[in-house]
Amino acid sequence: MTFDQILQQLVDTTAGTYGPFEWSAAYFRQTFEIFMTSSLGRFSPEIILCITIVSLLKLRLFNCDRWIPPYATALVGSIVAVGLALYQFQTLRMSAEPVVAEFFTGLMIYDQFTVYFRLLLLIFLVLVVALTVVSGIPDRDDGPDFYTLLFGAAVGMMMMAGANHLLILFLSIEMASVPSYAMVGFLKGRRPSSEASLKYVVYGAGSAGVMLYGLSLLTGLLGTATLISVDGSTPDLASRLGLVLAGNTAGTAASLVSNPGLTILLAILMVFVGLAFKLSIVPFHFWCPDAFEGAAAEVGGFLSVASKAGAFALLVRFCIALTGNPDPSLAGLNLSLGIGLGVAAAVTATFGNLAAYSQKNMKRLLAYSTIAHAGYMLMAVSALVIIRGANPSGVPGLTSAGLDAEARRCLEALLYYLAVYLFMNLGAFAIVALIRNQIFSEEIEDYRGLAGEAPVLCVCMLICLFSLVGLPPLGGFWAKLEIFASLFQAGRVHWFMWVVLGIAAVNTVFSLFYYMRVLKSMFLTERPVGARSALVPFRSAPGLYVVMVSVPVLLLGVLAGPLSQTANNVARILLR
Amino acid sequence: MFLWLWVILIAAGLAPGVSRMVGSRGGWLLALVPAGVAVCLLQQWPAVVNQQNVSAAVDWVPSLHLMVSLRLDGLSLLFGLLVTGIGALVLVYAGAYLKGDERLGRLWMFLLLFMAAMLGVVLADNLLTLFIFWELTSITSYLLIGFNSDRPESRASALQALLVTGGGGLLLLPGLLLLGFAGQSFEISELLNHADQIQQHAFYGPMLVLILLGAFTKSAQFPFHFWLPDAMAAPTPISAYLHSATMVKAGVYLVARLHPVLGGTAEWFWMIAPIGTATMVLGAVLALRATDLKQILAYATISVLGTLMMLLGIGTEATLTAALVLLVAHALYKGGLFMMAGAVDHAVHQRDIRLLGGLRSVMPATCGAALLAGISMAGILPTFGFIAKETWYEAVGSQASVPYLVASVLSNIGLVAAAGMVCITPFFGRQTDAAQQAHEGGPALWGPPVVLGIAGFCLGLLPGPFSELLAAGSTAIAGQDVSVKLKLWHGVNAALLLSLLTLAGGFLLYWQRHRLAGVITATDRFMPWGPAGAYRWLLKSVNQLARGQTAILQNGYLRYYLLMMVGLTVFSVWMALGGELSSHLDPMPFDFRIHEVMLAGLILMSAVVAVRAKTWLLSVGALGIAGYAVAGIFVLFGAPDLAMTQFVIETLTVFLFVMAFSRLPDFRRLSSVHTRRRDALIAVVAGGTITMLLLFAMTVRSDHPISAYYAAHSVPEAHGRNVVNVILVDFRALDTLGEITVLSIAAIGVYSLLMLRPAARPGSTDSSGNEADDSSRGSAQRGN
Repeated sequence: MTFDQILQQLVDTTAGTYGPFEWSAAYFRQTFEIFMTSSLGRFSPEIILCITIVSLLKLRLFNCDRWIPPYATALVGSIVAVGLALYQFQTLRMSAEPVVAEFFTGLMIYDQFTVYFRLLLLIFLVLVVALTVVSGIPDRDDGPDFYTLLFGAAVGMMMMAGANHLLILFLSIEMASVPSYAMVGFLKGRRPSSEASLKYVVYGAGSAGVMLYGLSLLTGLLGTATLISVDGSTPDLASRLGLVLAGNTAGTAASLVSNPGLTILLAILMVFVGLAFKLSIVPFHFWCPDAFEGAAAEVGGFLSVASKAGAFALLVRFCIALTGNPDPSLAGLNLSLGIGLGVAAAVTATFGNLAAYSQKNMKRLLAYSTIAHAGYMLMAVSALVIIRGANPSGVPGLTSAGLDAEARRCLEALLYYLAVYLFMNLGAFAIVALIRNQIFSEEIEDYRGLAGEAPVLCVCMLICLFSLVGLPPLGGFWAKLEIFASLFQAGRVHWFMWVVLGIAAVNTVFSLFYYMRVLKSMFLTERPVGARSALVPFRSAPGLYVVMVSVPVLLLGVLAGPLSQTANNVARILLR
Repeated sequence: MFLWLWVILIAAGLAPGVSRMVGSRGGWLLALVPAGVAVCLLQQWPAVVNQQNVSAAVDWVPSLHLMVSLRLDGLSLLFGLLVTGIGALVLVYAGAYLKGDERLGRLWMFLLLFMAAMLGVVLADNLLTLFIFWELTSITSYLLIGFNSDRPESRASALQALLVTGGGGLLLLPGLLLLGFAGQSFEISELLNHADQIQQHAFYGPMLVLILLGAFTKSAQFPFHFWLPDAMAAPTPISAYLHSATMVKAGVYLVARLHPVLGGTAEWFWMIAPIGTATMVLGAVLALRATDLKQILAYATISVLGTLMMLLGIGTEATLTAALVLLVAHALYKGGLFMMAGAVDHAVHQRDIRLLGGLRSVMPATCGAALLAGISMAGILPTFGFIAKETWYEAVGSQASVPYLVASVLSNIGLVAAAGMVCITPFFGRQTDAAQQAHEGGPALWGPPVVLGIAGFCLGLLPGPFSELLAAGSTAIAGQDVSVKLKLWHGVNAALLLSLLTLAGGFLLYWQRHRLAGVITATDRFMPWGPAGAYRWLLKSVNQLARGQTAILQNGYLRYYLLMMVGLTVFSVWMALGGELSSHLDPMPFDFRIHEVMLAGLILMSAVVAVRAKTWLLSVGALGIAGYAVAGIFVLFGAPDLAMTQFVIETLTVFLFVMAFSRLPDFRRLSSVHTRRRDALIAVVAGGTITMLLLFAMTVRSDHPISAYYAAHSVPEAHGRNVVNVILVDFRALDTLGEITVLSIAAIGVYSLLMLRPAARPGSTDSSGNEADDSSRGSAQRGN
């Protein structure tokens, strides 16, 4: 085939798909709509980010960044991506039939869950870029590098949400991690920054190695790497698990060694190591405090929220794939998985809260608080796994439909928590960054009496921290409430979830203490004489920015209905 | 009903403006709002008394089946009247107390916010709505306490107050959730129908404990009582409102509200009554020890709160009614007394009763207010306080529970003496130096306490109409119809005799109080061992635990972190495999070919060399050889494409390593022999474990090779016969897309590096050089 022929074929196919070309709005809208159902269209928000990266670098290459500041390019790119994701979300929400489609030949999956996370991450990305504009890190020279890393990590995290293949699972984690390493070390002149980055790299490489072992074992044992097959044409994890573990492959059972379950469990465990590293679950959390303390607060805010959101999406996908087989012979595996996650969650929350208690540096305190919150969110996942693995006849007072509703509730709790967490944690980190710009310190001790000088920052900090505790009427309250409720229901399947609930409750009380310490320093003490002043009026870019981030925390607390309804819908389609 | 809350909230929003425009007299204006709400509440009186409860609801979070529902019955109406009525007086009082202070507007705003929250607590019919308002009272009280920034030590106590109540509140949440799940509803009016079911529920015990912890911390019950006296650091209007009349009663309210659902069991009695009694006695004793006017009042409040809990815990109709009567009486006189103490403080700047005396002549109105309230506190005819005490004695006495009656009488003796210390000592006797410069404040300062005192007298003289409301309130607490007939004079009976005994004892105690000084100093030694000490010890030891844990787990050494990760993996592998290994690890067939063995030996050797090498170069080279040998094994086992990739990657890695390491300082041994031995052990164990795992995994054979799918779908779906090609181009199209992106980014990177080159040479003056020069200077600066 000559080149002309190939070209002609391409034109023909295009015309076949999109109809004959004409200059009309209707044609363009139709073309756009058809394009958005193709693999590339479904991947378009990510592609926009990639294009932004390339243009950022190109612009600097040709010295155009003098006229077009890098942050402007970044803002435009991320806002266009938000627009596309919003379009996708609306289309999915409006469609009469629930859309669940594979794209890129089953490597990735496109449903409301993917798009929900995409939207969440992209809105977050816009907010982070806006924060960098307000706080002035990075400077103009470093801008393209910084945004390249930021966007690269964001693409990885968005891919995590849509992963439907073990290969993509690994790739997306690495794709999100590698730019993160560099971002942590971005404050090049600072030794702690470099040290933190190095620790992060080495630790990340170690856990990636362990995870890779697990992935290859799992793929080899099950003969498939697809998480969920939408139309059942490809073998997926759940069906193969059933075949291998239940041993009901009539005639071929002899070829199976009697106890592959153990190896599979180990393989799953090793995969969890990689995920736990991203989620900073104890004992894979070591990098987190060092990295957050060493990195700029902006980077800390980004990593603490975005990387958690992506990793939780991936964890949920993986767990749903593993627990997708209703065969009773898999109940044991599901139960041990759920309890294992529950133990990890309880230990993580307790450790994080306890360690945060004695911190003096605000970023380090927030790092431990991030660990603790990962624990709370993991509790929802463990409840989900426990409920999904339950045998409907074995739970008094719950029908099969009731169990489904409870599983949805767990997922809804997680989705709600992540959405609120986005704003409250970013708010806290942003305020740390903005205060740092004023007083050049991130020690809690130096925050004394700031309420008098920068009331808007301090009141927003109060909103964010009280929401992190879970006090009403802030968004964090509903988030925690929903997680507690789902833990309670999971406790009806297995009593251990009630223990986890108890631990979660005690932890919540405990967390009040260290968050209050910060607020006490800000509100109840006087500004020491001679301390640097931090005058941030309400009508200034930082003032408006923190208000913009903390108002949603308040709104999500007062009007919890719409978001929780949306989250429930997303969960329903994912768990169909 | 929502309108009432909104009106107060709007008033809160307007408060700073009012303060700016009207000044301190704006208190009268703002007080109209709660007064108006109180009038609206009074309008509901007839309906409520006839058991026609008013309710309103709006949907909030439909997916959680959550509604904001409010309901007005006798109990809520009673509390609502207290909250708004006393609130109105406090607003007026606060205006005078903080006259000319620029923070007055904020104080009013927070007071009104708190009022809305508190009104929400007593009106809420939904457990979660109640909880939200409950925590709002905590947050607003934090903002209120944050006011006083004059003494540093008082701030610590303010924080502690919030930590105790806030922490208790957070424990309350799971308790309420358990209650809601057990009763299958979050509506309190709905739960009343499921009381039996809830009390039979497996979680009845835990939910009761959690809910009571919330109530006890809020209402300052033993052993959480220590926060209340410390919270007296707040300005007096706040103490009068939050710490006597309303917020501390929220716990009592909750217990009363949930009594028909949870009460009537042995657990209920034994968890509440003894603690209430202990608090009652302890509060009275500590009140006698204190010398600060507000401290005495705080301890006396604790004692009364204990009494209320005790009465609710005993839980008969009579005691429930008595609790309500006492609650109203206490709110009236204690609110007045706090305002009186504030007026004295405002005039004399002194609250220590040892330094106060003879204020009667300079502050006659305040003295009158104090006496009005004091008579009620001591329970002397004809005040409402007297009726409260009579009902209380009668109710406890009719239960024939002698210990509770004795404790009641004893604590009341203490309270009578305390009333004397508060209302007589500062105003009579010799005029002290401090008192001489004092002068009476404006009517806004002494007016509100006088109003409260007179209200106490009126209710005492004419309790008749009020009984109806109390009956409605008691009905709500008891869950069944209760009729209340209050009378000032019951004739001579046992309760009256006990009252006389109490008064006599109280006066004796007050008269001879200087003799107690020795006893007080003797008990001082035990004070560090009290709950406040325990609280401090708890905080300190948790801090130590936290530090210790962090020091062990998060010591900052990367090698230690890695050790943890490797150790955990090895541990879990052995935990799982340990028992199974021997039975499943079939002896491997040893039919190796010689070149395979040689390659394996080469890998091993180069690994050892890499570890033992004395220079970077040797070490990196050895690693490269190991990589090439692995590629060789790929070739032997029929995977030439994999081997090709491996060769390329190894070459590149070694190249990069050499480039990077050439800039590093020389190879030095920083570790001791001991550490190295330990590391070797860890490495051997970890490597061995993974080997074992792989060997074990090889025994598990799947009959589903992963390639089958691609082989089957290659031709029909992608029209390609070369499966590997099809996988790369079609099935892995995403990878290709990623590669394109990465390649383009890399190309740009390389190109930028090339552009940088000429600039590194000094003296290049062409136009493109200038730009590059700038950027290289920038990077040099950053490098520093």
